[in-house]
Amino acid sequence: MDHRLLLTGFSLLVASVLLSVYGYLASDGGLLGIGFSAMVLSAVLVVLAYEPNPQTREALASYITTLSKALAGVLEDLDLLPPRVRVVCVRDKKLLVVSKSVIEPAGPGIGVVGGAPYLALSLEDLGLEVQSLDTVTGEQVELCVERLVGELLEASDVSVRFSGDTVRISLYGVPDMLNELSIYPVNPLVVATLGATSRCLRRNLTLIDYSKSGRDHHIAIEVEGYVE
Amino acid sequence: MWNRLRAFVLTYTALSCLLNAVLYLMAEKRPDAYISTNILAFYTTYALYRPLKRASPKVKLLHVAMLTLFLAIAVYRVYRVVVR
Repeated sequence: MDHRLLLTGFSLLVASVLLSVYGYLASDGGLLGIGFSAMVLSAVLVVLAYEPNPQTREALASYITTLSKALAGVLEDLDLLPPRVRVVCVRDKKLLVVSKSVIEPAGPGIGVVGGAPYLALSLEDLGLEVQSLDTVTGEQVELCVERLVGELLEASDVSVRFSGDTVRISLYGVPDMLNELSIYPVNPLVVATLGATSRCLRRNLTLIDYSKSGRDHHIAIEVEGYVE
Repeated sequence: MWNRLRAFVLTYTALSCLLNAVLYLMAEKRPDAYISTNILAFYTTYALYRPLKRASPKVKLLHVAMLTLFLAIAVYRVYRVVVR
């Protein structure tokens, strides 16, 4: 959000309202018109103030690319490629766990469990307002995941389907910036989808399949047992 | 640092001020003339710069509101001409 643009917009709105009132009281159609015109301009400024600045997006893309490259290097060194990606709830914290086998990590970071190395990243609160749902299936969960994933990834269409304990999420028309990042082993797109799905469900998740076709991405997630 | 969005805002604001000044100097008394020219200035500048790669729901709502307002003004003016 651009605070300067927002402040300018609101200031102009106040000034235009005052000008319109004065124009009305003075019976001056010209001043009234200028006041209304300025109101339109202020509305445009306020709306645009909420739009993400393209420079912010570019900076974020640059940051994600650097992070993805660094993580790819770490995974290579730990011999975790190809990775098994899961979201695990550990002591009320959600961790993205990258390992070769199914393990229960002690906490975030790099570790070894039973001789098997793993990399665990803390999935911070995505800042999205949603109530966690306890049931695996149901339209509510599908809508929840669709909304979160659509909001996060700005895909032109999102489809979520539950079949048993597997949820299949398809993202259509993913923006180019995110599409280009899908080449990395810790795919930011998959991470965001897993994070959004885990936000809706209080369950451990395992990525079981991922495929890409142009700007369409298909992700299959297995929902594991209930976690308190 | 310059970017499309800022260039659009600056151009649209300048154009809006210029058009309002011209209309006022021409002693235009109809408020809807000011609003409709402002909306035209918005779309002209928007078409030139294309500041947003992807319009959010708020921006789409703004487009709907602007177009509805413009249409309402146009219909009202046509109605006034026809009734006369």
